[in-house]
Amino acid sequence: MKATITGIGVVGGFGCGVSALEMAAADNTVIPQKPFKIRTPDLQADISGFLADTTSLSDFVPRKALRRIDHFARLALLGSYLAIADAGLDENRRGRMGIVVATGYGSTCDTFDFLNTTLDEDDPCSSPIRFANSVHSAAAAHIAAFLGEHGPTLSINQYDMSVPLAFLAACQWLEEDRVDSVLVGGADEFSRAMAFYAQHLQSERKSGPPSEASVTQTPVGEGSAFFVLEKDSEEPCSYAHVDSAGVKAMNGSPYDMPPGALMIVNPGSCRTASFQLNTKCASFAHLYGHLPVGMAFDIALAAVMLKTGRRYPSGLAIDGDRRRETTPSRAVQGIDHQHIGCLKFGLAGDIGLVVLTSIKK
Amino acid sequence: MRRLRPVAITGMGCLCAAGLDLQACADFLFRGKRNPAPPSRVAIASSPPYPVFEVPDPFFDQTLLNHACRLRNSQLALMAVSEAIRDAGLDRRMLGAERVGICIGSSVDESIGNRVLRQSVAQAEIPVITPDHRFLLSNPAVHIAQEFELSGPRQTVVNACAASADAIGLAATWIRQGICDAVIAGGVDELYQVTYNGFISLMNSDRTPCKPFDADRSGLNLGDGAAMMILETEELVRRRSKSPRAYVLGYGAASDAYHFTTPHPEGKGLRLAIMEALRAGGLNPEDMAFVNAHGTGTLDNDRIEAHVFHQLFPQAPFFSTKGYIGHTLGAAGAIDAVLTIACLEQGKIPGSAGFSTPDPELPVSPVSGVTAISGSIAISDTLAFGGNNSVLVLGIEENGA
Repeated sequence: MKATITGIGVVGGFGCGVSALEMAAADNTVIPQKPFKIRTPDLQADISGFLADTTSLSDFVPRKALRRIDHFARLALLGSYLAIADAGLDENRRGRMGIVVATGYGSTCDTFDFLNTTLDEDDPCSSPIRFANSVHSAAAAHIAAFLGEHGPTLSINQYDMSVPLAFLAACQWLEEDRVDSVLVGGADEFSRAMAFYAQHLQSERKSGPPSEASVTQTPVGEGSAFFVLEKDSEEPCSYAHVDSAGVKAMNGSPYDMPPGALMIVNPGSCRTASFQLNTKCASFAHLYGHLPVGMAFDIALAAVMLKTGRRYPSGLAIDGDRRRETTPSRAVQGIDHQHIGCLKFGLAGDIGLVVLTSIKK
Repeated sequence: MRRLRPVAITGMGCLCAAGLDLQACADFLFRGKRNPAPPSRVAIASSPPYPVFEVPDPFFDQTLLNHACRLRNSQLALMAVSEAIRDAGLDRRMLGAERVGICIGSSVDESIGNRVLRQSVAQAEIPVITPDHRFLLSNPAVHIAQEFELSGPRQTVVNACAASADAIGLAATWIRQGICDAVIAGGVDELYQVTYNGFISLMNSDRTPCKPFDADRSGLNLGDGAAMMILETEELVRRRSKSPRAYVLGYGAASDAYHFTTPHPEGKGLRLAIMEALRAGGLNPEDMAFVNAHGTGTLDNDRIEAHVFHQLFPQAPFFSTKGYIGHTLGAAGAIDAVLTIACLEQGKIPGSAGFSTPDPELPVSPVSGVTAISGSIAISDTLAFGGNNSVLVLGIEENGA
């Protein structure tokens, strides 16, 4: 059994929807915004980030119904609706649908707001809505409720490994006939805390050695990328098969990749110089930013490239070291790969890999 | 949902307000006592304080570990893992030779890390701790992997109060599908100010010791603790000549798709999860020797469970552990799972602490005293924030009924 990606929904600094991501990838650039000003006695800084706009969520849900839904859950909801619409998956066809949501930060805005009231003000009458939304499973719960889905829901919070683990769980649910389809994806939001984090990265960039600094070149990002997975679909509209998904310890041994496969690498925050990649590489983090679930956007791009046969120009050089940046042209090219691996280096010394294969047509 | 192979449980560990190992916890429940007290580790703004069930100090034994560990949540997890590994007859060398994964349910681990990050942000300083460091400092799955030098996948499930039941269910899948030779699966949550104040803000906390399924129930008491299991493949069990202590026979999960903090009025998600877990085990409701209920003591939770039990398990006795150990949130599913197995092994279940007056609106009531049971299979259910319902079917014989 192979899981097949039949729909994709993305929202990020590049815009909303697969076509917006494709356009940004073809243009090879996204302009970050400057959302936060930090003013302290020692520092004045404007922190830039890739922000996502969720106003088009009202195309799917009455605005009134979103009153108690925070930005994090809105990101996840919008990605979900877009993926289901992209798959053309109406209620009759999706059967028992599972929902898997990966997040690295969770709902940081509500979490920090609640922490402020409960820790600083010592207020036992803190907002119950903020508390409820601060629970990491909130996004998955809202998705299930809005879609009316009674299948299993799963929220995974293993920081930068959350996305490959989410795909692993989704494929296993399909394999065990637990569900007929799975809505799987990742979401993370920008917040004041993340702005400080971005500042930390910037200062690290200035002070660190070049090889270390280059992994954090991209601004902090936010957004969501969701996928509809179904069993063995050969529908013409389908994107790609999920060949494998998993996580393992980084022990220096190369991953088994099909010969000639392209590898989309998401270096994240960790140093990757010791890991040898014996295949062609590309990176697209400059399109969506630095966020723990960034790998989900790589998977979206991989699926689009396998479906359309177009290969988008790669972004930053990976790790700034001797690794090959193998996209010779900055223009869109034809793709000669049947397989694309999406690789994420984890902070805790693990590696996540999701391999997609093209659908035979 | 098709029938799935049972997965062997070869070792278990547990610590909570009832005791510092699984045997002590089970013995405590059968004595019928309980020790709720004001919280000792969180600042209390409410007066009088809401009672909680904390793990008694000292519980942490650094001499069992190679790496220093200062975070209480990870300390709880590591103590439960150490007991489970001993119980399974494993050691560090044996673990290092196999593909061992870690699947942990928790609801507070990331939030705990946020405390430090938030303090820096609130003071408008460049944080000394980044989200990266926060994760490394607070993630129990990472700490377990580092301590025992494990190379398999590590995962934290954050499905609120159902998190560790889901973690065990997912871990069983890793075994069945050949992802790992063994998995350390379970849950952990320490008592934490955010959840303490959060449940007060939801008006879900009881100012007195909680009374699950009682006519006078008015909410939950929080607790903390951890429980872990070692799940192994058939091949590894055979190679080690180890007799499994129990089996995961079935796992089911379903969503209410109803409301974020209120369960479906007819328990739709819970019913679906129970039926899925039974189908996965090829079992029927009447095969269950008893039900270990989620039984938090909130009005809605207990009402929903009682109605579903009445429909699906009219003959099976049931009880709740929450009156003894509080609601341990992300750890609750795992603690209830290991206590369920302990009850099957002893052929009896404890009385449901706090229950004395039957609720006329509930069609069934829990047992009020120690009750002998017959059979080798039982069911443990959890209901969580957001309408997550997760159910484990556990047995002490591989072929179930």
